[in-house]
Amino acid sequence: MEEGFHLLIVGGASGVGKTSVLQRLLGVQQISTGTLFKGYMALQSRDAVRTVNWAMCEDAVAKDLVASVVGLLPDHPGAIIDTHFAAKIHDRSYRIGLSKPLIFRLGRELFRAADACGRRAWISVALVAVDSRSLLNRRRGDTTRDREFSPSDCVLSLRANSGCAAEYASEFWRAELAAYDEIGQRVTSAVIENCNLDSAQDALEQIWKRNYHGKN
Amino acid sequence: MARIKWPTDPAEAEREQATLLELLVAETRLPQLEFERGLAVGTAYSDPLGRAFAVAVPFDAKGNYSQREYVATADVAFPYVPGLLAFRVGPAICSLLDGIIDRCDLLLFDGQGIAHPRGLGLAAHIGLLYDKPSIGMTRNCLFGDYTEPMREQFGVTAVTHPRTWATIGYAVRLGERCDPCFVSPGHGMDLEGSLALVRRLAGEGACFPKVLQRAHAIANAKARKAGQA
Repeated sequence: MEEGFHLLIVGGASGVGKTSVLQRLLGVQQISTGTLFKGYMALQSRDAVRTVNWAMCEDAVAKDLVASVVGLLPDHPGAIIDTHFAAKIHDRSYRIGLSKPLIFRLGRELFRAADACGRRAWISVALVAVDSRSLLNRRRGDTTRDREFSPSDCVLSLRANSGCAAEYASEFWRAELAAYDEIGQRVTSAVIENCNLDSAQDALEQIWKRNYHGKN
Repeated sequence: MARIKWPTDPAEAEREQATLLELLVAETRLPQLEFERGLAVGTAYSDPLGRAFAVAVPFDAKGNYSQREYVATADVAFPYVPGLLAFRVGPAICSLLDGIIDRCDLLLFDGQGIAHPRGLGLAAHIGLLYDKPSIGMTRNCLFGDYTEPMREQFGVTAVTHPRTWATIGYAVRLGERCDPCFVSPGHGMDLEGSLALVRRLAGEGACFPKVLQRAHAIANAKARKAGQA
């Protein structure tokens, strides 16, 4: 079975349980876009991320992200990017986490680098989701945040992440098409419903192993 | 519990209601309508102080209540707008319920449930935030059409939505000589369940559930007293 390099992008709204779902894959190299962004800002608290201008850092973060992923390519079976597909900008508005050109660039650079070192690369986009009710209950019970939360955000953030996850997959498919004149062989997308943690962890592990071994 | 951010602008409040409606559960979550402990929540608002008052009175499955009461206040700068009461008194209610909600299986409010222009009156809104079954009761029909119920104990007619004609609550006389009061389900409650429970909880000879009268009276008294201080 051909082994290649599997880039797994795991995203979802705050509170869906991404970190918990990723627990079984801790042995895989993980890159957090949040950490990359925060590296360019002096933030005093988890909630201060909402007061900064992300767009100013995006180019620098994208360069770091591409460099990190491509840097892992020769010697690792893959990497996981832990992210939010949609980022809240103000009130009820969301934007896509990374801009579409940057997502496309990440895919394109990965495929080029993989070809250059004779490895096959796969990209999986995995959206971790819960129902709005569960998310509301979780956020109500979360006292680690020092800010108030908006209940309607539970509905809106899930919707935004779902829509933007589809856009991430779309851009990676465009990158695949640009590189290979075909789509669907190297990019897949999935939704993991986190209503039961064990099942969600199983599902993510299956996605990881499936593409790691080069099969769709 | 994490604190809720309440909109301070009526237009934003209406959008919040429209979004939250998606989370409302219209089925009864009390098997056989059994429960151990309910809370009747009354509210008041002092305009001079810009402060909301919320009072909760616990009651048992038969509607019996003691002298026990819980009180909370919150400074809220939200105007009086029909249909947006939750945004005026909600912060005080949440301040009250955050510490005691785990000991309660049913919420009864002096306010509307789904019989509301956007389907999310005070009872529905707060019930949804805590994921607890809730019922709303008012002395006046604030939204919907109805005909007068028969002049007999528990005489009842439907309150219907003015456009869709769907039943959204009931006009019910709790006594032969009583004016109708208006019941609508909130969250985790259906129409029949809300009516059945109100009949059970009303209290002998009462034209409005006694426990809710008490909660509302205490809230008003607190607001008046604070305003005089």
